Amino acid sequence: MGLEIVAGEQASASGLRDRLGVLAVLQADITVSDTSEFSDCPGLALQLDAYARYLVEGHIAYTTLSDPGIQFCFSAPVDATGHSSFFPLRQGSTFGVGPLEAFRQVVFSDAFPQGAGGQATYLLGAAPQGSIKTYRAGGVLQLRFAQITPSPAGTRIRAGSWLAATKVKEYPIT
Amino acid sequence: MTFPAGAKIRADEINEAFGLLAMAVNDTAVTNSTTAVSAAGLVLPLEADTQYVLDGYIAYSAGAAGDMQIRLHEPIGGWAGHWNFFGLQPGAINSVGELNAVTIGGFGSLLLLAGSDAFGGTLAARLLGFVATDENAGNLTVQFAQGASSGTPTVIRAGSWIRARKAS
Repeated sequence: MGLEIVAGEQASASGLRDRLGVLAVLQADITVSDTSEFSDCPGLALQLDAYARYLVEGHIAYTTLSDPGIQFCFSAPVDATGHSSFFPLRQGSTFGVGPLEAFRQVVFSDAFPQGAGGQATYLLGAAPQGSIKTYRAGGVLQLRFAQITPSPAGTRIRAGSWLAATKVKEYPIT
Repeated sequence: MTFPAGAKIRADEINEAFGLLAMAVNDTAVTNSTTAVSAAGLVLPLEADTQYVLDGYIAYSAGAAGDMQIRLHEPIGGWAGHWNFFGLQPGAINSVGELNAVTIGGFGSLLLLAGSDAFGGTLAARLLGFVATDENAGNLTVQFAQGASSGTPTVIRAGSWIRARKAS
């Protein structure tokens, strides 16, 4: 169901761009402390077209103590619908090992985050995946994060984390 | 990578944009050894001074006694990055257990994942990561070994794959 470059037709630049999707890589660590208010993770933002469907994937490398932990969510273009999971280590896990949290959020909002476990020593990973459908407004799919409980110990998303969105198929507007 | 409207696009630009993909066409087995070896076919030739995002799927089998250690290996030691195989922590029973979410920084350390004697030790792990090469081009390779020496083979199976998409 991926976008196709039609045999026999001349491929356009926009067609190739759509086929490849969009990719964002964080170039420097981003740290929050003393707050459970969500903030953007600058650099992990994907520009999405209007009236389009995308599959979303990525890898978030992070460090945080078990307390305060870390929580993730996305903000999305106005009226966009979809769902996602970060497939993290369950909140409260230690030493980088524990139960998998497979809860799926169906709203892109600070009010619907997904918490994840932390540990003092290890760099940890979360594996966001999901899908999103945009309507009249294209815009930015933005990773946001916060501490679960405010703490002076920094909670950090590490450089090299990435997000990608691949356009699947534009759908007819009725 | 951007494709300006109206510009002619070369084949090598298209190939580059779609990234590098390697799939194992044969099994690679390690028995009675904790020394890491390269998994046949799971090699990506990366360019110098380039960033790539990584993903992949590792099909493996291992006994509960031997488990599996796995890593991404780079040839010289100057590349930066991190990776995770999102696999089961040793001690899993019948292929069910705790997630190991530890992400490894750099390309030297081995990550220990579970084996299981149940169902022939049939397991899978999912690679995600990032690499920034330095002035040296070279091969990024999946290497693995047993966690503890065991007569039950630890095997990376044909059909496993890794992919690198250029980010810069």
